[in-house]
Amino acid sequence: MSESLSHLTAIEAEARSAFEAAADEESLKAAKAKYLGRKSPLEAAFAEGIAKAPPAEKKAFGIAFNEAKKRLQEMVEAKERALSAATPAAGPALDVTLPAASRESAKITPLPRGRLHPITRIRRDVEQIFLSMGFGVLTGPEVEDDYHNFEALNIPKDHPARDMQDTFWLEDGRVLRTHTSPVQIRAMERFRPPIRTIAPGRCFRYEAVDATHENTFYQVEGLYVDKGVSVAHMVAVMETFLKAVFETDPKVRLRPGFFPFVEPGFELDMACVFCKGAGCSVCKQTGWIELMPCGLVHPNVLRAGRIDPAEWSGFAFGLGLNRLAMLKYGIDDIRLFLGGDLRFLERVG
Amino acid sequence: MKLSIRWLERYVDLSGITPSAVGEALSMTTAEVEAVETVGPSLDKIVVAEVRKIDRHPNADRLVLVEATIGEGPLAIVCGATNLVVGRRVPLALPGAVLPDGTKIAKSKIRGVESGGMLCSRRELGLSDEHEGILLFEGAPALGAPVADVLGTGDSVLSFDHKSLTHRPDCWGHYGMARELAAIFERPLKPYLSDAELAALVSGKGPAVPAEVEDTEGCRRYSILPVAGLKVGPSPAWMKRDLEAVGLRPINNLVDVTNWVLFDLGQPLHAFDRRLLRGGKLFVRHGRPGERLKALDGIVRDCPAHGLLIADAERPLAFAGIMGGEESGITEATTETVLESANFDPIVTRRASQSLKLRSDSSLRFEKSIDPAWTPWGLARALSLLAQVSPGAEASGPMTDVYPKKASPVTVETTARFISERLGADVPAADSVALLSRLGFGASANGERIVVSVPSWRATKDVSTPEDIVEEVGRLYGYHRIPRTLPRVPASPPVVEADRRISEGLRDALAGSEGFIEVMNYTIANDRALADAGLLDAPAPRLKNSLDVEATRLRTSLAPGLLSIAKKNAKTSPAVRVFEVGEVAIPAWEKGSPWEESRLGGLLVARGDTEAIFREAKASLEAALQSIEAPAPSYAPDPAPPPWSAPGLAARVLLEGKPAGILAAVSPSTLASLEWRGAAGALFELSIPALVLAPRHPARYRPIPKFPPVTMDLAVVADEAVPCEDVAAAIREAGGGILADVRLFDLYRGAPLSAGRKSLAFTLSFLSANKTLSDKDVEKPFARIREAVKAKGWGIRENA
Repeated sequence: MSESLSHLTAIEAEARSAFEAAADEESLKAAKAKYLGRKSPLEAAFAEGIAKAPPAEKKAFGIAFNEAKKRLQEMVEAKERALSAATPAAGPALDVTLPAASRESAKITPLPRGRLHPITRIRRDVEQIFLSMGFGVLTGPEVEDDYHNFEALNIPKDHPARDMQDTFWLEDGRVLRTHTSPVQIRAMERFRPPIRTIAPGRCFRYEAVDATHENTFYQVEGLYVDKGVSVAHMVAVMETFLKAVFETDPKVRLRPGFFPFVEPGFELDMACVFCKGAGCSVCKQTGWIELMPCGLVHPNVLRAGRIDPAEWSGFAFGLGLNRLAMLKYGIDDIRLFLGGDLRFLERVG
Repeated sequence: MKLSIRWLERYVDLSGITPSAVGEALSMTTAEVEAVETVGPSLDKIVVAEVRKIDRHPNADRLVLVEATIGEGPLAIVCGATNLVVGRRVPLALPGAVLPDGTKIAKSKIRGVESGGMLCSRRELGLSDEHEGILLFEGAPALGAPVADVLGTGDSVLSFDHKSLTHRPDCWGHYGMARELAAIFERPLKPYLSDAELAALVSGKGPAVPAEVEDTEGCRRYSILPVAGLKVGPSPAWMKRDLEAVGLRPINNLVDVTNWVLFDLGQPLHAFDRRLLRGGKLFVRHGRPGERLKALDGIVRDCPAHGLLIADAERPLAFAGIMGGEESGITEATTETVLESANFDPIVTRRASQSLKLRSDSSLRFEKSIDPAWTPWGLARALSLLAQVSPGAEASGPMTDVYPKKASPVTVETTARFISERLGADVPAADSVALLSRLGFGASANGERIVVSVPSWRATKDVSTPEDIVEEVGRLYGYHRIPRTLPRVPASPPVVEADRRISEGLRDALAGSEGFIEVMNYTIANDRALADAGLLDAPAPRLKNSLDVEATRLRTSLAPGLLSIAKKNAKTSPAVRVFEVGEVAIPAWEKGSPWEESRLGGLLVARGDTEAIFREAKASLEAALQSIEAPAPSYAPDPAPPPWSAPGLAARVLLEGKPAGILAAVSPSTLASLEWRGAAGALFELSIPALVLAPRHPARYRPIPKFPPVTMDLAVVADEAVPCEDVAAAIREAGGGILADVRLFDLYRGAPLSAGRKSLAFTLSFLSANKTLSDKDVEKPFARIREAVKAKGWGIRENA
């Protein structure tokens, strides 16, 4: 291992001096191809070293290799910038007061068709339906404090439910909100009941990204606080909503689900709209699609919002927008949403 | 967590209910069953046969030739067993069968005689470890029937989603889930223990093992029992099969009993080797400075002061509720044990487990706050099992039970009306009482009023409010029976966030008439994108935990993400025309001030010259601003351009004099690092709150001019440094009210102009509201304009 490591270090040092010595863009390009290309001595040293390394040390060796490679890449990038900055900037400074191009003179780019992001499209669908049912639309911050993201939602410190929320923490103790539920609290802080609102927004989970998991995703929170709000109201509103989104009459079922901020808590499933409940790959042969957690607002949450649970009750839900967009537009990989590939956005817009 | 159907059937009769129906019922009533899987030997193609005749094998003394039948014609089978009896029924593995040990059965000749299969022993069927001859069925099971059905060897395992059981400390063992099934299917639940098993706890002759609990908040109950006469060896096949079914590896009979009880009742047990205890007494106490313990996983850890330890007179023995120590654990040589069955506080356990970075099946359960009433139950069940798996094992002293603060009973009062109102379904009081009783609650109704006494296993935190009772009644009542009732709401318009009109209007304009694609970039910025934008060193809030060493801080601008879109699509797109509306973090925020801001960002990259791209971006920006009725922006050179731009290329966007963002050309070196060398780019980024605050200029109709305009062209020659807007402003001022419009139509540099000079050619439109203007009418104002231009020291290019 140590032998392989020192070999790696030696190659890195050699590459650094080659990059250092490159006086123009051409020679830098050549050095880059030599030391960072696919057949570079660095890659060869890695392949050889990882094969030789005992299993316990493979990980450490892999990390060392990645770090060396990253350092070299950063150096090349810095050097590239330095070299191109050295080439004199063409022309005079820009007159920033020049008037906007008139449409007739926009010869540079033929005007393409614009596209809204699929998340925006589905969000607007959802908002429109709830607006028509008398729900407002509120937002809340993406960086949240512990109080709004956890404490006020009946997730005290040291509660095992905190494990359910794989959380990105900031160095200063704030969090990237793990759900849109903090907007429930913020809505109750701003308005007195009755409250009917939805709150779309971006959420974050500390988890590895793959075709079905994203660390950054969109939810729509729903909150309805009034006198005598019941499970029967919740199911009816959800069914009406789904009917409008999917333009069909989907069957809906409730299962018990545990979420500290609701009591009773549910998972709401919808009969698979693709196979009509017969079982297919979308519903994993179950005939049902798990769509959203929901439930009656926990009395502790109402109290955190300075609402007397003896007088008022409410329901709340959290709908995953990415999932909804994937179902509606037939998108098979959640990473596409934030992947930045314009060909994807052109195809779903 | 996995539970076995066969194991559950020890406590509740599930006959006539398929495993998938059991899973479905639990999913709909209790907790999410993620999978129902069949486990155990399949015993496919192994059927019941009858021995008709036994003859000697012609070529082998130790083999016999059996004539058997499975209901059809006779089959000749060669066999080596000596316990066969004519007329008895036996398991026969037919050709094609695969025995649990992997042996494939085929037609074959054994010592010259063809054998049509193989008669099996219990061991060959994976049911026993003993060599005991061919299995002889009692009675006469149907010929040809699958042996798996006759023996009931198959099992199904239910896998539960942990999250859905977070609030159910009682359901982390088979007994608790059996109770749910008994309630769901209305079948009786067998009592957990017999009176005799409980009595055995206190009948041990010999002294008790004393225990002292230092922190009775952290350790609610501590029960221990000495057991002697043990012989460590393998567990019986049934126990191994049970443990393997739920995903555990059998170790030895003593350890297996503790694990079996853990999965049976949900009560963690620990077994100490009694001879390794020093001082004959156990202590439950906090860690002391410098104390270290090597746990059963072989890792030595510091004992946290806030966490609890089990210790003897000299040293720590176990991390309480989490994991035992290696030194005092069970070995092959153990003959005497002290069994521990304790109840630790969930928070104390969780904190210790987190600081030790050590979790176990035990700590998982303690974190959920399990029932303190269980500790003697766990010991009693373990004791009776030990007597089975290690004959001769018995209690060598009575149980020691430290339980100073008994859990107080929990009673909840509610009403039938409350339950019905919350569910939205009419559930009479008597029905609620009946449903609750099925789950083991003590419930009684007095008119509307319902008094519920919560059983100990649900009373540790799970059930304490009327809302909790609503859930218990509702889930057993059946959520599918709740009607759908749309709420009646007043016809008042709902409240929407103030910036919604702005952000949605901008989206519509850019994705609509302006032809931009909306993108979304990560809030957690990527270091490479930051480096390309020159913002790697900019202050930004940082993550304490990140998934990627290159993504550790929050974005404070939309620019790096937008530029990275250009880079990602450099090979596949001829031009990039994108925008994003998103939140950015404000790096230096103070308590009480906003810590993030909504922004609009837009980027245009294409082959072409910088000036033209810049003016195109400006056109789209202005169109978007106009669509939301914002004031017309003005622009001033930005003295501190962002690093991805360059001095002289960046402008501040001002709305009625107040800064609202920037519009800047992307510098050639930035474009080069984005793999757009030689292209031009322009980027704008505006603050949405600034747009919300800017005065609104509502659309208003201006009458269509009744008379035609007169247009004149004027080319002004000035130094490069003179802003176009200054020239236009001077023209407008001199032109007066009759000058309706000043529009730049050409910008020219080069011969015959000297270097550093430019020609700005404008079309001037003169218009009157009262009459058709003649050339003569505009002579005077046009002359005024020429004078004004000359007075500024600028030239006029004639006949341009």
